[in-house]
Amino acid sequence: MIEVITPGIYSSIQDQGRFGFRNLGVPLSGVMDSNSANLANALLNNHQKCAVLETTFVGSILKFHQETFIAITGANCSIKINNKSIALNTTHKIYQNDILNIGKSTLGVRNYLAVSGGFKSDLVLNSRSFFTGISERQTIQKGEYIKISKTTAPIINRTKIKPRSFDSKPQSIKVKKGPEYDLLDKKSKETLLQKQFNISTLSNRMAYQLEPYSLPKNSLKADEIITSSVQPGTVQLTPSGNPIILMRDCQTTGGYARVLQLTESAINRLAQKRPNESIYFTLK
Amino acid sequence: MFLKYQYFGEGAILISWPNVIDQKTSFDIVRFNQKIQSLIPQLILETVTTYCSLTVYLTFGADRNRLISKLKEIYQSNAAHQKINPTLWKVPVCYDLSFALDLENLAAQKKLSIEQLIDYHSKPTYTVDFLGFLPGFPYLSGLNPILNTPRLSSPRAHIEKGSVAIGGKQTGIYPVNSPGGWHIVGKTPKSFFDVSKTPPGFIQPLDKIKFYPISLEEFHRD
Repeated sequence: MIEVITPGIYSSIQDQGRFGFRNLGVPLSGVMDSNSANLANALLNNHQKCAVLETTFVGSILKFHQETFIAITGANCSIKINNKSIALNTTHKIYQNDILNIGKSTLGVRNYLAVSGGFKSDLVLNSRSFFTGISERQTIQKGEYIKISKTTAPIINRTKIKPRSFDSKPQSIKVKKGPEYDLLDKKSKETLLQKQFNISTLSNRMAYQLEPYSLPKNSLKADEIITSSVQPGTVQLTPSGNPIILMRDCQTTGGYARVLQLTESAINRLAQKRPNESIYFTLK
Repeated sequence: MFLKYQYFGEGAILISWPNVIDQKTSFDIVRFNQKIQSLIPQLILETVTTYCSLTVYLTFGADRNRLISKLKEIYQSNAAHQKINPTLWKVPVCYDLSFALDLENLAAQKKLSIEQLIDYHSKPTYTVDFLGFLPGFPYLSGLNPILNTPRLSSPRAHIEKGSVAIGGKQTGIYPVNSPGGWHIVGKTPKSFFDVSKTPPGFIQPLDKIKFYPISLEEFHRD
């Protein structure tokens, strides 16, 4: 068991997502930055499907009531076990009553905590990922006890996944054309692919909203469509010209034009970009 | 019908029908979906159907090019498929003003009495076009055009599970608590989405829904 002393700003248990129920309108969910989450699991020889704890901007303070091994990946931040600093992207032995403090992220947004054998939050519709209306909670709560696996197998680290480095520079976001890309006028296509966009503070696990930098009127527009399917990484364009990038908790259908589609690795990169940092799209 | 096949990101194929919302298209989509599910289950992760589209999410590493020709072949084939037997669900709705937050406003706006509005809403047999927006949320078509109403300009932060609402040309049921911008006209005591059940929802695209009014006492008895 792990006791939550302080949950952090938005900390939730996530695995690779809730597949197989999108036809019922159930969002996929799952880790925002799968590259970092996979690394955390790989460092512990965990199966990629093991659930991890995802923290956002400010991490959690957790008390372990059992022995285990842990690995923390993702955003640059200070991490302490019993007030002693420890390194990201490697494994650490945890003893009973140890207190882990995942601090504030300085570059990047999200950290991933993996434990040997994974977090054992309730399996709901084949996934342990938290999502409002599906799981009991959407974030971990102060004072709650979270079940983790009892596995304490020794670790032989053979992962080939490399940790990424994070910075606050404008980020290239790789995209494919979306279903409605070809319906855009020339001006909108140019704007979309040549301009930089600012990440709005209205960005979360559902979607990242973008603010175009002082664009002339009508330089970015698209008509609404008959409601059709959308998925994580879909770039929607609202009639008023604001691009929205859907993320892991997004709805399964939507009525805005789907102008671009992020690659999986681009979704991971975007998941670590902070509000007021900027991005530009690169068509692959 | 002439269908358009497009890649939708790295792992999906989007199949689009001409932009017409009608029964013929809906049946064609559901029939094609059934054939895909029964003929190539190993190649697909899941599918999503909407008014005029069918999205096929592929298992990791599936060859998209080959799959498109396979899908075209399946669409043309007369492969045996299950008959589509839409179910008619009779759904009790309590239109009491304590639940129906927008009923008075809507009636005033439409110059109808509350009774007339309830009558207009509960008379038709609605068709489930597809499920989306929220877990188990059925998009229902067949609303009397008198009741067409643009969504609220700013959505409510909390709408209770079971709320029956009108949005645009459609009506629907909120199967889980959620924020939402539709006009609330009533509430059903029936549960439409339960994660402890397999499958968690029972309503299928093309099913029919008929609302019938119940009193507050009947609501609480249910």
